[in-house]
Amino acid sequence: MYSPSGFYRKTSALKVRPVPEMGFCLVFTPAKPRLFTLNPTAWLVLELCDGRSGRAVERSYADTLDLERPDAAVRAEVRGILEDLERKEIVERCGKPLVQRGTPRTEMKK
Amino acid sequence: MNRSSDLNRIKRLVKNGATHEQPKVDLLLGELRSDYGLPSPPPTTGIGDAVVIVWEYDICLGDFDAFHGFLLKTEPTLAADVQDLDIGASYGGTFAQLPQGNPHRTYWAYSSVKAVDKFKDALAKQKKSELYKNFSRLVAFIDCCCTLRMHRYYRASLLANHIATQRAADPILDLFAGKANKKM
Repeated sequence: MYSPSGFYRKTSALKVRPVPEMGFCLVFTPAKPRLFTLNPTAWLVLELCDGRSGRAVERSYADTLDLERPDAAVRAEVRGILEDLERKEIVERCGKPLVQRGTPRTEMKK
Repeated sequence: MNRSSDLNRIKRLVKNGATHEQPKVDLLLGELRSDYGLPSPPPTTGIGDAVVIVWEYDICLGDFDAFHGFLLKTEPTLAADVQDLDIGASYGGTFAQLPQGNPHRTYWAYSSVKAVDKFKDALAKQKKSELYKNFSRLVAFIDCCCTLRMHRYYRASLLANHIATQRAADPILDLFAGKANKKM
C-alpha cells in the first residue's frame, strides 16, 4: 500500500543495469531471482527512491515533467508504480528519511 | 558516473520521449535457446563461382560507426582491387544482421578451390598495396573481437557425380549414394 509520507529506497542487493541506448534499465532481485525491465519513467521513479518520501518522489517526478506541482494524474502514476515496485521487491520502505547530504535545500523544503 | 549525473541522464531520457509513457515494470521471462542454426545460403554470386567463403563475426558496439564508415569508404575499392588481380577471386560484400546489429558477415567468392590459394599468395606478395592495407584494416576490426567463424560453401552442381566417382575408393560414401543396404 502506497504511503505519501513513507520513505522509499531500493531493496538491498538489488542489481540495476542501465541500458540507455535501448531506453530502459534491467533490474535483478537476488532475494527472489527475477529480472525486470523498467521503462524510462519507472526507472526515474526507481532512482528517486533514495530514502525520500513518496510525496517527495511525486514532486521530483512532476518536476521532471515540467509541472509546477504534482497533479492528480502524476500522483496516481507515482502511487501505482511505487506500489508495483514494492510488490515486486524492487523498492522497500524504510523507517526514516535517507536523503543524501548533497540534496539541495530547496528540494528538501518542497 | 556519479548518482546525480545518472539521474540527469534518466531525466533527459524521460523528457526526450515523444509522448509521455506511463511507468511500467515488466518481468523478463527466461527462454531456452539453442545455438543450432541452419547455415544461411551464400548470396547470389556469378554462376562461375565454385566456392563461397563466409566470414562470420561480431563487431563491438563501440566500433560500429568506425567499421561501417570504413566499409562505406573502402568497399568499392576493395572489390575492384580484388577483381583486378584477375585470379578468380571476388569480394562479395559485408552484411550486418538486423535487428541485433553486431553479427556481421563478409562474403568472398572464388572460381575454384585453387583460386583461394592464389588469392592468399597474391596478397602475401603485395604487402604495400592498397588492397593489402584495406584487407588488413578489415581484419583488424574483426581481430579486436576475436569471434571470427568461417564457413565454406561449394557450388552443389559442381559436386554432381563426385560422390559416385569417389565411391570405389571410399565405401562409406555408399551411405550417401543410398546403396549401403544393398551391399550389406
